Amino acid sequence: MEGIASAAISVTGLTKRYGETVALAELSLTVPRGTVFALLGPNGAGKTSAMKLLLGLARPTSGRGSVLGAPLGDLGARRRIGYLPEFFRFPRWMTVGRVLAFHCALAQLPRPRWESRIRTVLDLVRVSDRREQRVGVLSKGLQQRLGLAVALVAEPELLVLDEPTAALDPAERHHFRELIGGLKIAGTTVLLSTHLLGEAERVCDHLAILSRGRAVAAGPLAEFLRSDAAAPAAQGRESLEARYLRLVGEE
Amino acid sequence: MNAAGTIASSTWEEAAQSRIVTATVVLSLIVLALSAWTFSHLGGLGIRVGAFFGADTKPVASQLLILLMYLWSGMVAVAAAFFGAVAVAGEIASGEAVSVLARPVRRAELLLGRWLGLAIVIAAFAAAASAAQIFVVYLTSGFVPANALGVVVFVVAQALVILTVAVALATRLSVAGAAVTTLLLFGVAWVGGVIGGIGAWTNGPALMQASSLTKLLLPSDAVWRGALFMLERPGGVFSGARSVTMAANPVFGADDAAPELLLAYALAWIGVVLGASILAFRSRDL
Repeated sequence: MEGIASAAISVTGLTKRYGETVALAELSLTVPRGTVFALLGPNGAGKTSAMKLLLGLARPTSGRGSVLGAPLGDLGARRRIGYLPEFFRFPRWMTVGRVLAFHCALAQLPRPRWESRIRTVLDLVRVSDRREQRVGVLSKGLQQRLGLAVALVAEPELLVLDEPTAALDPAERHHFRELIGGLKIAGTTVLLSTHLLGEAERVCDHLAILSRGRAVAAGPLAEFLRSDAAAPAAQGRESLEARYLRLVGEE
Repeated sequence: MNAAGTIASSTWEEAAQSRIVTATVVLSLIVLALSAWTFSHLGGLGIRVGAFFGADTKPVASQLLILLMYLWSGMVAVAAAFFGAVAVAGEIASGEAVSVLARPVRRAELLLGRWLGLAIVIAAFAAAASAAQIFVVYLTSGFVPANALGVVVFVVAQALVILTVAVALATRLSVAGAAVTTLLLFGVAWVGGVIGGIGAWTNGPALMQASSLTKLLLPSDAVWRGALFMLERPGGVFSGARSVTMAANPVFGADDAAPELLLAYALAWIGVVLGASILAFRSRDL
């Protein structure tokens, strides 16, 4: 009971079907507050569907859950959530600063706080010098960093990041890991999906592996890496990649 | 400002910076200039067709103005269909909608914000274009329609009806699907109006009923005909046809009081369709 009360996200039996296709099947998951939780899995495993259900962008076929203590998709809870979708686009005609101001307004942030929040997140993602540039002229990597700035601008308690480093170069990925580390220290819960197992291993402390819409493994990273009887012999510890491949490798 | 207002104001900002809007304004100015030149030469035309019109060129001006207003009506309809489809279906397809709706923003607010933003832009264009056209005709030929303000109001109403159709379809269809279907429906409604006119002339109740049905389902042509009647001057060459058509119309009455009813019906229709669009959008997975 205490675990659920302190959970940022808790879902039980969450299922999403698109016609005959099962995107998510009976997903049960708890994301503790203040943790960095990675959703791993091959393409089509249900990671993006799970995130969209949590945010109310899609409706579950069955199952229930809560995010920050409120029902899935709750309007009030969304004030406290930052989201970076896998595929997104900001209006090309807007400047970087205008995009952030637009999202400050949508997030119902008090007007006097806009400027300080915009400056803070621009510094955090290192695009302060691009504030007056239009979105249309930004590279893909810069747009990804802007997406992260938008997700952070309302000072969220929960950050949901879908493939956040897909368009980033190695230096930017390093900076991203530092950023996530800082957010964790500040108490922000981070739920992220990624295909980069090394990255997940470095930034997350909890994870779940999805396969064909089902969670085939979930738990703290430390426990997850402990070798078990089924694992091949390995000096008392199994790498995340080896465990991942063993669980979903046949796909 | 609430979310719908924020979204609407961003639509106005976008329109102010859009090259398509700039190009449309430039093209409109060219059309107005060409029409001014044409109407300033109507005197010569009046002499040539004097046997029919006499020395008075106003009947010719009246009918040429109707022809030009058909052009504006078509341009406004295409703009409303295209921009309405892009603003909703395009935003969903590109991922803009997802980042907005992850905020504490209701889907109704997103849809109404987009509709409101575009409605003001398109209504302003429709009103400015039709008013400018009527003014140009007045300056160059001296002709003033029976109810110039009414014409502007009805052209705007038609634009809003078409915009509403496009926005409604765009909640479920792609950009191309929503825009093309909207224009097809616009064409069907127009043909329905023509069929109603034929029914009135030939005293065919089946044709008139079919026309009335299209007017009820999609009142774009009905309000356009309201504009047409106001473009004529009292006692104009087609006033006989007008009275026959209006008298034969079982839905919107038979006299000049009918336009208000027509307008009220179109506004109510817009409200109902917007409400249905919100319901359709709420249940859509993004």
